[in-house]
Amino acid sequence: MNCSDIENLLPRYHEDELDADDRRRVDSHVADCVNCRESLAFFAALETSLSERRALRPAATRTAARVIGRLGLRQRSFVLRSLFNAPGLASVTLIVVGVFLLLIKNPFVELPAVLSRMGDWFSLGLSPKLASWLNEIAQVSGDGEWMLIGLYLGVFALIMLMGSWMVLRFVRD
Amino acid sequence: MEEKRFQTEGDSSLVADSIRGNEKAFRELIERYQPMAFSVIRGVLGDREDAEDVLQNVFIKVYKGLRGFRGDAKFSTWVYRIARNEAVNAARKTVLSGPPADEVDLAAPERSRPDQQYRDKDQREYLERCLGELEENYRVVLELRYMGEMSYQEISDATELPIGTVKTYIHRAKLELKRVMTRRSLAGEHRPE
Ligand SMILES: [Zn+2]
Repeated sequence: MNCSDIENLLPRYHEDELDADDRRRVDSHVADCVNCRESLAFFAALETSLSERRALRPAATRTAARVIGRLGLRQRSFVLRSLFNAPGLASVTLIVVGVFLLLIKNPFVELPAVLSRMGDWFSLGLSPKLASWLNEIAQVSGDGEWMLIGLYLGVFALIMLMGSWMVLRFVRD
Repeated sequence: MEEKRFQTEGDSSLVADSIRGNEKAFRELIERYQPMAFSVIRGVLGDREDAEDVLQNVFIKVYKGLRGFRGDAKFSTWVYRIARNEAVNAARKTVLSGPPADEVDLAAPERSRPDQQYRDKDQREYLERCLGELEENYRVVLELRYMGEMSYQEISDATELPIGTVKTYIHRAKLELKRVMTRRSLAGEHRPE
């Protein structure tokens, strides 16, 4: 095989598009022929640089976000999606719970009562286990006020943080 | 990073959901076909700043045309046609409205060794310019293969070219690239040994 026959095989060498015979022909030819060896190196480098060009591609998620924004798909269904989307629903629930906690008058006195009332609701059949747990906390918190204040503030802060974090993430995206 | 092959399973249900206004489904369709559409645009327009705008326009056309997509063609074929039309229109507009992008600097960048030929930024721009000299049909298929990371079969499905033709185009494109690069190297100070 002469050089031009070999040259014609070289572009496919690095794509694994050559059968075993052709591959062997190329191998034995380039062992002796400097020109074709350099040619083969050229196609190897070309393969690499062509593959590297995929970095020029913009992120598909960004394209999708822009297109959906331009089409106004997001804005139109935002309220519905907030309500029927799990993270939306969860964040709304968290904020309602947070506000509920805030609104309890004089929480450090009232909380044991509220907890035990909540325990009563749950004991109506929703979750007996949760009910007994709540009642237990109500009992304990009647005595240890400071522990209760800490617990209350901690829970409140955690809930508000989570709620607002989720809303922010949800709206921004 | 894992290579994400694009898959066509479930296209029709995604299309149906998108028509019903399911934004998530349409998002998924865009993400599936964005690499292909971008490759087509690059293949037609080359290295141009407005490629991303054209890309967005393609998917806006896709969305508006979804109801008209009957499923007698593959979805990839349909998107391919829209992308190609959009790119060709963008190219035509530029020709009508202004001078073409810079066609200076024909020479290959200096001080490069053959194995280091495409390493730095200059070299990358050099490659883009050489790609620009290829015949459009070859370049589009080459872009689909490398930029779009598509298999021969996927390219054949989208372009409706026989798979043998796809392989031939890619083969010829590479040989042609070598010719162009060698010629440019000879025109400049540097030549590959
Ligand atoms: Zn040789």
